Amino acid sequence: MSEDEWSKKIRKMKEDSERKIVEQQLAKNN
Amino acid sequence: MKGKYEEEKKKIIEMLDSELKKVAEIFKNPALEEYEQPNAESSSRGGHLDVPIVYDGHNVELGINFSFTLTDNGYGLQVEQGGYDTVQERTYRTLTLIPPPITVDAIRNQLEKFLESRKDIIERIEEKRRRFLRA
Repeated sequence: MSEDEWSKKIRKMKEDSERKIVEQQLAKNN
Repeated sequence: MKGKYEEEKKKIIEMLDSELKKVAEIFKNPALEEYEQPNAESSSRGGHLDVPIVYDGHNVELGINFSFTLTDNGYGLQVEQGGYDTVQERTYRTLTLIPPPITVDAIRNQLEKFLESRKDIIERIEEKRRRFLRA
């Protein structure tokens, strides 16, 4: 796996796992 | 035997340090306090990455630890993945070994498993929250 593919993969994993957290933070702020 | 693999070890430390810091940098969250941010460190003993989960009142201290272990064929890495949920008072822990020769792909494979486990824990917390809201 190239450096670029690996970075993209980590970013995707971050987005997937943090989506719930961001949704909840937004819900709290609203 | 230790001296025979010293140069190899230095290269592995550099590689490990670069991989751990990359993940820590990507997982930084500007909405969190400094002490809640991911943290990566490495030394002659190995390396460590913390990517805590701060979510819905939970604070899971989640980390992966790589420790050098010298074998007849060179250095391997013992990998310990673990965490502690301060709300549920629950400990998570797994132990595995990367045998020599240590490659960047083997390290990334362990990091990927660690991040998958982290995602699973967030999903379990979310599922519990939903059940609580339905009740």
